[in-house]
Amino acid sequence: MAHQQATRTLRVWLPATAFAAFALLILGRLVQVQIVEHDRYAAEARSSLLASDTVFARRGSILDRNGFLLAMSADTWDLYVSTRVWRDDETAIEGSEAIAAATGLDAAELRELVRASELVDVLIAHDVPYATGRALLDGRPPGLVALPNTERVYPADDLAASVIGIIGRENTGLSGIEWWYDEELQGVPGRVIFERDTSGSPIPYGETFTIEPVRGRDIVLTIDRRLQATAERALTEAIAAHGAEGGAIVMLDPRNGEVLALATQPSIAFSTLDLSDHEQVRLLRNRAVTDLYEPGSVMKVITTAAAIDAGLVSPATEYVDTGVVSFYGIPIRNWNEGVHGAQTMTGVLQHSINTGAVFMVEKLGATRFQQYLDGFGFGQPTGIDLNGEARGVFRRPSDAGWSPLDLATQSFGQSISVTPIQMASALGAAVNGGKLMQPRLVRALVSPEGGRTDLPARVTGRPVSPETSATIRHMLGAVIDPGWYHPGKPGLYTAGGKSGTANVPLPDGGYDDTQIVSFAGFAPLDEPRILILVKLDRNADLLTGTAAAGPVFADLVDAALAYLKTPPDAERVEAR
Amino acid sequence: MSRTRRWAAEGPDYTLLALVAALTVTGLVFVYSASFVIGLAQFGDSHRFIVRQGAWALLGAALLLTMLRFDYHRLRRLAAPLMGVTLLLLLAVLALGNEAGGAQRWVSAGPLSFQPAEFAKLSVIVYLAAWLSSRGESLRSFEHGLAPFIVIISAIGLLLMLQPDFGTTAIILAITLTMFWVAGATLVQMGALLVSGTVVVISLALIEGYRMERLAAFFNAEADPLGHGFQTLQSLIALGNGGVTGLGLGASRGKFFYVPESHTDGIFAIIGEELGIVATGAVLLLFVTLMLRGYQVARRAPDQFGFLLATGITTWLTVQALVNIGGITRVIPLTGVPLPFLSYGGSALAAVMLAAGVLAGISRHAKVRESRREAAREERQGARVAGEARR
Repeated sequence: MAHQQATRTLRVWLPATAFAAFALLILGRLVQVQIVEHDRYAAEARSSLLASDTVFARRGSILDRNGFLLAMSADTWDLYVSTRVWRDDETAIEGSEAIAAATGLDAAELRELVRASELVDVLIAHDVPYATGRALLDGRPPGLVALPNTERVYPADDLAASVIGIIGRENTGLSGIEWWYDEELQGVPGRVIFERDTSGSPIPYGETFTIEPVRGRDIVLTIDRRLQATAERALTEAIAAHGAEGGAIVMLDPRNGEVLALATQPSIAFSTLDLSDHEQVRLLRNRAVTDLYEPGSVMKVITTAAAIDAGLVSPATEYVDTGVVSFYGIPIRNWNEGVHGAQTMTGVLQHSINTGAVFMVEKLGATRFQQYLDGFGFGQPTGIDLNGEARGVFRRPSDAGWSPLDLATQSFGQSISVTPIQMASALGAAVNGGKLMQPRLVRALVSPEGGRTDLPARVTGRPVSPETSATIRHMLGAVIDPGWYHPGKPGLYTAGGKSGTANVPLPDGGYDDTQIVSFAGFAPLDEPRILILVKLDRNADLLTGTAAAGPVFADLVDAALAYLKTPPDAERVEAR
Repeated sequence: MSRTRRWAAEGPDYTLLALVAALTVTGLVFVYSASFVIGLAQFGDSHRFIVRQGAWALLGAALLLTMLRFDYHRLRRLAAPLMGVTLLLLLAVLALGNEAGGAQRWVSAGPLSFQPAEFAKLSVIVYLAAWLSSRGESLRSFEHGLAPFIVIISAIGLLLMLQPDFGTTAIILAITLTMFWVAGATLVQMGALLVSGTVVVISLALIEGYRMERLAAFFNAEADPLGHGFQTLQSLIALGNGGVTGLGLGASRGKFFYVPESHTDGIFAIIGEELGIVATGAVLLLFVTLMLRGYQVARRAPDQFGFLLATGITTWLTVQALVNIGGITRVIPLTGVPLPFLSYGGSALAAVMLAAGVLAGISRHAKVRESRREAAREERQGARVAGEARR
């Protein structure tokens, strides 16, 4: 038997040794994988395990200058359904019925949407109101995954829509203030880094790292919601009354460049926004800063200011208008073919005499006139905080194709294109004591903790002296109050202003018979608190700037200054 | 010779039983850890798998205790009928089995479904032990040894390959070759078997496309990390991620659908991820110790049938464990075989516990030496006899 056992030992020794050797080989391999190469495998595990989600910070609100909310973000839910869970028909029916009952979506359509999808989670509803989503989640319908989101809501409805602008799905600003101050409003998005399973769902009890988002700042506009509403209503009414295609009203404080109201037509409206409509996408710019037009006679204010500032003329300087002036051999006529005889410079503005403007610009000369245009900010963006601002164009003596005729026509507002905000800004400099103020829409930024950063007013140039400015104010006062009826004269306040009527230039350099009319002015006369530019595009009734835009200006001055609690100062009132 | 004979028909090999108990309990712990995610995801019940496995473990324990008391010699008479039943079951699987994972390996009977392949291994071992022990010296001849042996294993192998079950076939091949060898096969016979066996295995791998893909995945898993290489790579990542002491019990990441079959064939990877090389090394050590104890039981068996039976069972448990762990650690290609005692799978667990019971039963009949001196003498004598035999 011992013999037998010894034989067995010998026989068994072979497989035992072979298997033990193989086990040793495996042990070596375990050492290699689990100890030597542990770091590499751990890194590989992490790279496939770790996923991250962006956590958007609550976007800052946009408020009017007095703190009224114009745009704010409200909590909502984005609802998803996990396709894996709904693969079971009964579960899908249970889940879809619950979701349908809460959201009003169609249960059968939901099931079909999820069944047809190849995604892990299918988005079924965007921006569901917070309370609706919360109630739905409490019922725990199978397969429902809800991610918190925010939705932009507009407490003042469509007010100032083209100033505020819109945001996209990713909470980024696409136009207007939302775009310009996107970084400030957005804050810094946070991230959640978590461990996920192969379908991307977080692993329960897995490690989670959170980088907290930094909340965005609130924006306090210079816009006053009451003045904005007044301006928008006035613009809509004027457009209707005169059969215009569109228009703009700029209302700013000439002392500091703060825009109090900025109305444009056509404009986007939050309530009817539809970005699949190409026409609406085109409106994602504020036309008061992006659209160029020829200002016409409003430009005579600038020409006059330049000539006076250069000491070449005074308001009382006389010249004789024959209805036509020969400028380098080219005859230039007045609008309406009018002949005004002997006139002062004030008269030139009152009667809007083209030959008078040519008289002044001839004294100035091409170089000096161009220097004044530059000084008033023409041909360059004002720097207003809105997207797509146009710089405006005028031909300079140094440009190819310049002729002396350009100089003459520029003096009365042709052959030069401006934006409404640019024109308003230049006029502001002419009447506020000679300082070119950068127009701006934002007064202050308010951090979530309450810290407020006021944005300072910026002087971007001093085109004319305070004395010249005072002179211009009184000349423009005489335009509105010439001693006979003037439609642009406010009832309660002293004011100054100037109208413009210009044909619309065609791309080939000619003009068609449609017109853009405007009236720009300020009040009160001695210490301007408000500057208003009213512009109507292609008014069908072909009334002049004075007749069509003048009354709008007058009404707005009365309404705005009364609202701003400025004591009425018109003679009529004082006399009472 | 007769001086040393003494039947110790008393206590079994308790070390062996302790090893089996340790492996089974470890298995239950990790089946729970590895399966609750899948149980929740697929059945909405994280306890689904552990409850079933627990029930099967109880059944397995009952089978083990039964076989412990059962005189293994009576198995000899059951060998032929058992083999017949096994062949019928294998045919039944082919005819009406459930298909799972592209292969028919299951038979359902009411609420139970089980894999005959696991019991087939035991039947084959019992049958071969009976047959080989009846051959005696004639085993060394061709017509009474090699030829009928080849016929027997070819028949079983064919039936298994039709399912198709490559892993089980390979393991049965290893078991039968080992048994043939310890039964006294000549080196020439073994050489011939090894060569032809290798040829068969390779050609089997060649005719089935998916086996080639698994082979390709073994050699170059990185070329197809999301396809055929996925299981190989994810198992390695889980193991490697565990490091020395692991992420902690229950903390595996791989079980979140990264490691395929995490609660069945892939459970070793989850063990490695949760408790590190401390646990994988321990499991490996448990299996090696089990092998040494098993072969010890074989050596001490009172007769040739017991010796072959114990050798067969030990070889089975060992080879299957090594094939599984070797696949997970990428020492050899992956074949879908469960890790004995540890993987989820009721019939497999019951089968290995039954086999362990048989093994422990044989240990109760072990022939133990009376003294150290006699043992030493025995060794010397054995060595001399062996030396003579070699000459």
